[in-house]
Amino acid sequence: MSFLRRRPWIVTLASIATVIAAWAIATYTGAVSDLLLPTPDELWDGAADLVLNGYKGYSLGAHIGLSLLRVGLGFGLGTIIGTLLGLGMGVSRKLDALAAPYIEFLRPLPQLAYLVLLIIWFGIGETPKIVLLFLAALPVSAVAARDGVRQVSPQRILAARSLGASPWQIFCHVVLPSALGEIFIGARLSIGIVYATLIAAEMIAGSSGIGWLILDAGRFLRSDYVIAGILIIAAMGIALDRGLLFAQRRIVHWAGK
Amino acid sequence: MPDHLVIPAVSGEAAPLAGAASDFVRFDQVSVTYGAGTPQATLALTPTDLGFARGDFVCIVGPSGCGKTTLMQTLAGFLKPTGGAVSVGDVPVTGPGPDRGVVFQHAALFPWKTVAGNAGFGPAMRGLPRAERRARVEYWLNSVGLWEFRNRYPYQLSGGMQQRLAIARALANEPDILLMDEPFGALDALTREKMQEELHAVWKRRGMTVLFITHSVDEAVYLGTEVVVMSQRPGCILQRIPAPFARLAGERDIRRIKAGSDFVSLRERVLSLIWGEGGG
Repeated sequence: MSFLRRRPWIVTLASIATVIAAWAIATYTGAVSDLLLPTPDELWDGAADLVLNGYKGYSLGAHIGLSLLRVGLGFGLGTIIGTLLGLGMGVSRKLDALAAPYIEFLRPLPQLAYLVLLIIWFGIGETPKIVLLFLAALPVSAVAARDGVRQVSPQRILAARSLGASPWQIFCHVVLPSALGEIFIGARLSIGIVYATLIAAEMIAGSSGIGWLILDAGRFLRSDYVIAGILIIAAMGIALDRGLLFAQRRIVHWAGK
Repeated sequence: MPDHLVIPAVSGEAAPLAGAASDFVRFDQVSVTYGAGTPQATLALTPTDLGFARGDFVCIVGPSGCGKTTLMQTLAGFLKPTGGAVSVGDVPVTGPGPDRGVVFQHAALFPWKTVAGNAGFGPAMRGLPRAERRARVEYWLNSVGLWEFRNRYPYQLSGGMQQRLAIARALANEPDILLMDEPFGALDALTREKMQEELHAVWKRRGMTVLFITHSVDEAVYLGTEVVVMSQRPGCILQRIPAPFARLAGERDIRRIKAGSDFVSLRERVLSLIWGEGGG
């Protein structure tokens, strides 16, 4: 089977084809009710309907765009502020001692646990959604940046010092680039968490976003819309992760070499 | 040429242990205890005197744990001596500085910077004018044969090339003293010998002061104007032996020198010192 070992994508394709075939057989024969699982052409029609007519007042593009905007704002702000905080914590033991309890408290906490509190504080608009995503991204990024700073090679710092670099120059030219690898790993971890939290965020009395679309369609047993929405969410997630991976490989090109 | 180097080395009386007042680099009763004040305190370096002149190429040899790296780190300013003081040109050493370039065993390059970026790091940090920086990078990368690789990254270079870049990076700062901690220790034997040749050529051309730490007696005897033999637990200087080969006039033929009887007998003398068979 060395033919397949050299071409693993053939196995991948075969695997996908098998699942689609099983799905088609199960639904066309009526073995599974189309209330639970649409047939392939019903799914196609449902997806086409979403693309052409949108869903409940917003086009599909608007739903996707609004979700991406929330993810972008929450993840962007959370990662930037978390990274800055983490860099500070890595450099200063005092700041670490000051901030670590909150970071350690927040990090393992399920986001849904404080969602209710955010609604009480911020109402039901966009603010609690963004804050929820922000709080999901913040601790992961902070811990990653702090660990990145702590893993800086002491010898490189000594080398920079003996070449005449000031503490600030050492931070910019040695510490920060050293930590970039960890920062990117943290960012990829955090976008996964933020993305998973998005559905919860859009449950907050909204009427827009791809997560809300799925929840709302589910209430009307529109499994074609639900599955189309899930496929879109999956594709967006893969795209976001690959985008970050691409940026990581371009920017931290020396990592692992 | 400083006087004490004219001593016919191979027949060799040992040079005086204490540094003369006129020495460029001076260690005065420098001692280092790791973990001082704790139950685990270890004496790494007994109070040590050592001095050498501008332009000397001092090689320190000794077994692992003899404190040779510790000694070098006090001069680099990475380590504050527990006792005594280190000075360069009568100025006490208080921390690292660009007047003392350091080359580590593992190049410790900046992988996010290009070859040229690494070589120009010191001059850039110190805010030298752009034209001056460019001239130095070009000169030193040419000196170590890396100019054509200036836009590559360190991970695209071989181990020997990385070490050459580390040397160029230290030298582009034009330090008074070059400190090298087993710089060729991780290289294969052939590359190592080639690098010894290149380092020697640069030293001769620039006339700088070098403190070179090595495990290899062969390397120390070949490169140094003086070989300092250290002993372990606790670290101390056993003997200082002037070596003539670094300052030999005319064409140097590394194979001929290393096969010569003068070289072999000096090497054996240093080795027997290290193995504690008396000697000297």
